[in-house]
Amino acid sequence: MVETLLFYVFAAAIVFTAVMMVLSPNIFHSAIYLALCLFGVAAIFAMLGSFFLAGLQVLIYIGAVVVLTIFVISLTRQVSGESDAQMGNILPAFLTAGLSTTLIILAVLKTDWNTMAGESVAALEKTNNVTLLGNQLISSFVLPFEVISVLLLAALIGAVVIVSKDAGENK
Amino acid sequence: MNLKLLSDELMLTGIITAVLLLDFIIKDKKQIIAYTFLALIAGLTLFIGLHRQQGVVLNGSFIYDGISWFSKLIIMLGAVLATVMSLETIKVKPKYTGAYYALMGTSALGMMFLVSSKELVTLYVALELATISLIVLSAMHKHDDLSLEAGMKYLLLGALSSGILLYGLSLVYASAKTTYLDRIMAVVSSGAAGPAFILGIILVLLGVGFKLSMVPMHVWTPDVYQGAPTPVAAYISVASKAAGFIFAIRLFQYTFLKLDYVWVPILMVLAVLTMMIGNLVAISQKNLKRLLAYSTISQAGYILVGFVGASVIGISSVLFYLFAYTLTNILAFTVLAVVAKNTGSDELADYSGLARREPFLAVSLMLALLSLAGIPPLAGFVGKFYLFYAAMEKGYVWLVIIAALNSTLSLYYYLLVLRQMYIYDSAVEMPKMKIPVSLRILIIVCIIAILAVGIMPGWFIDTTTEIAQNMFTYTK
Amino acid sequence: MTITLTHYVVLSAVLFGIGVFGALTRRNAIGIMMSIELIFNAANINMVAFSRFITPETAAGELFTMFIIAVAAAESVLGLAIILAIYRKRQVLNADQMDLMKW
Repeated sequence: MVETLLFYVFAAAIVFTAVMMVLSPNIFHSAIYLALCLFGVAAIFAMLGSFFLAGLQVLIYIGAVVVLTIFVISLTRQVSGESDAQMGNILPAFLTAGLSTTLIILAVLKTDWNTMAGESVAALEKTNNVTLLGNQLISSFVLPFEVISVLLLAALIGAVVIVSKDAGENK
Repeated sequence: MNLKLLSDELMLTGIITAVLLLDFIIKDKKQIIAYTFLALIAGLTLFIGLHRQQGVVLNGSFIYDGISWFSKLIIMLGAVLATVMSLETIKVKPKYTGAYYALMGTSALGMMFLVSSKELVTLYVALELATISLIVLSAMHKHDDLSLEAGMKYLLLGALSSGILLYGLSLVYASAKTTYLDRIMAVVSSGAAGPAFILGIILVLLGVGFKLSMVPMHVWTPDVYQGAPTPVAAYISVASKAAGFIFAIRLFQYTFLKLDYVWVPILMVLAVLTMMIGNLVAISQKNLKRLLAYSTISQAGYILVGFVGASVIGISSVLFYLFAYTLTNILAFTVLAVVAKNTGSDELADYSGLARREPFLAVSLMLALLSLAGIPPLAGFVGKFYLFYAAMEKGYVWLVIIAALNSTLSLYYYLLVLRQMYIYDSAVEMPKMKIPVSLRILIIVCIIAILAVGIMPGWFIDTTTEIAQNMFTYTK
Repeated sequence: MTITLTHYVVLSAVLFGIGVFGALTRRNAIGIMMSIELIFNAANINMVAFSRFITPETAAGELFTMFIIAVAAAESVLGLAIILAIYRKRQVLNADQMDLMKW
C-alpha cells in the first residue's frame, strides 16, 4: 500500500516537473526542473529495486549532465537569460506528442505481457543485483563496454577541439 | 573466444592510437600524420579485402559474415577516399590535424561495429560512436559559422532520433525478452508479436531513418552537407549511409523479416515521400552542396525501393547500389572540393563557364551527375536498374513506375548544373584553377571505377548476390 | 492494488510524450537538449522496468540503461561544447536564430 502511494507520488512529481521543464520560459528554471525530474526517475529506479542505477542516475545525470548544463547556461547568461516564452508550432507538436503517447499506452495495454512468450512475468524482486550487472558487463556485454571507451575518448577529443580557443580568434 | 574475427576492428583501434600518439610526437609538419593515417587505413582496406573471414563470437553478438565484409570494405573505401580528399582541402588548424584523422578513424570504427553486431546494446553504442565522431568532424571548421551550426543540427536531430530508436528498442527487447537479434528473430518467427512489439518496430524504423536521411528524419541532411567540411560531407553521404542501410538490413530483412506486413507498407510510403521531397526541393537549390544533399535524399528513396523488394535480390541490389553510389558521390564531392578550394564558393552561379575554364573538372562532374541520374553506361545506371528490378520481382510495379518518374525528374536538375557549366559563361575572368595531384589522381581513379562498374557489372553483381545469400544461410 | 509493469510503462510513455513536445517546441538549443534528455529517461524507465519484471536473470535492460546514461552524458558534453563555441562567435543560442542556412 505504501509502495502504491509512493509510486503515484513519484510519478506525479516526474510528470509535473517534466511539464514545467518543457513549459518554463526561463531556461535556468528548466534546468532545475530537469534535475528534480531526474531525481524522480532515480526514485523510480530504486522502487524497481535497481539501486545501483538509481545511484548512477544521481551521480552522472544530475551530478554531471545537469550541473554542466547549468554551467553553460550561466556562461551564456546574456542570451539565455532572455525569455524563451514564445514557442513555435505548438499545435503540431502537441498532436505529435499526444498521438505517440496515446499509441504507446494503447499498445502496452493491449499487450498481454504474461503470455507473450509463453511464460509469466516474473514477480518483482527487490534484491540487489550489482554482482550480476558486473559479471554481465565483463562477459556478455564486454564488446559494447570496450566500444564505449572509444566513444568517450572521441567525445573528449571532440569537446576539447571544439571549445578550445585559438590564437587570433576574435573575442 | 576467437579474437581473430575482430582483427579488422582491433587494427583500426591501433591505427587511431598511433595517430593520437604521433600527434604528441610531431610538433610541426602535421601533414605527416595525415599521410601516415592514409597509408595505414589504405593498408587495412587491402587487408580486409583480401582477408575475408566467417564466424561468430560472444554468443552471437558479433558476426563476421559476407555482408559485414562487404560493408566494411565500402566504409573503409569511403574513409580512404575522404582522407585523400581531406589532405589538400580541409581548413583545420594544424594543431587539430591529429584529432581530425583520429575522429575519422573512430567514426569508421563505430560503423564497422555497427555492420557486424547482432546484439542491440552493441549496435546502439556503435551507432552512437559513429554519430558522435561525425558530429565533431562536421563542426571542425570552427572559424566557419556554418560548420558549427551543422554540428549543432546534426547533434540535436541525431539525439532526438536515437531517443526514438531507444524507446523502440526497449519495446522490442521487452517483447522478445532478449537483446540478441537471432533470438528476437526466433520469437518473431514463432508468431508471438504483440502490439507493443509492432509499435517498437515502427519507432525503430523512424530512428534508423535518421542515418538513411529518410523522410521525415531527413531535415538535417542539407544543413550538415552545406556546413560540414566537404570531405566530411562526402564521408557522411557514403560511409554513414552505407552503415545505416546495413543496420536496417540486419534489423528488417533479417530479424523482423516475418513481420514484413508491418514495415513494408510503411517503408513503401516513406520511399515515395523520400524520393519526391528530395527531387522536388533539389530543383530550387542554388548551392551545389545543398543540391547534392537533396539528391542523396532522393537516392535513399531509390535504395528503399530495392530494400522492400525480394529478399536476396533486394539485399544484393542495395549492396551493389551502395558501392556504385560511393564511387559516384565521392567523385562529385571531390570536384566540389577542388572548385571550392579555388573560388571559395559552392554556389551554382560560380560554376558558369567551368567547361571552358576547366574542362577536366567539368567532364568529371558531368560524369558524376549523369551516373547519379542513372544514364548508361555509368555505374549509377546499373545500380538503379538493379534496384528497380528487385522491386519488380516482388510485384511492386506502381512503386517502380513512381521511382522511374522521379528518376526522370532528377535528370532535370542535374541538367541545370550541366547547363550552368557548359552553356553559361562567367562574367568575370577567373585565374586558372590549381588542382592538387592527389585530387587529380582521386578523380581519375573514381571515373575509371565508375566506368568499369557500369560496363562490366557482372562480377560485382555475382559478389553481392553471393553475399546476400550468405546472410541467410550463415547465421550460427 | 499493486504496481504492475504496465504502470511503469504508462509513466514512461507520458514522459516520452512530454519530451517530444519539448523537443519540437523549445527554441533554445539547451532547452531542446534537455527535452531530449527526457526522452532518454523515458526509455531508461522502460528498460529498467522490463529488465526487473521480464528478464531479471540477465538484467539486459539495466545494462542497456548504463550504456544509455554514459552515451547521453557524452552527447550532452559535446552539445554544450558546440553551444559554447557558437555563442562565442555569434552570441546566439536559439535554434531558430541558427538560420544561416535555409531549408
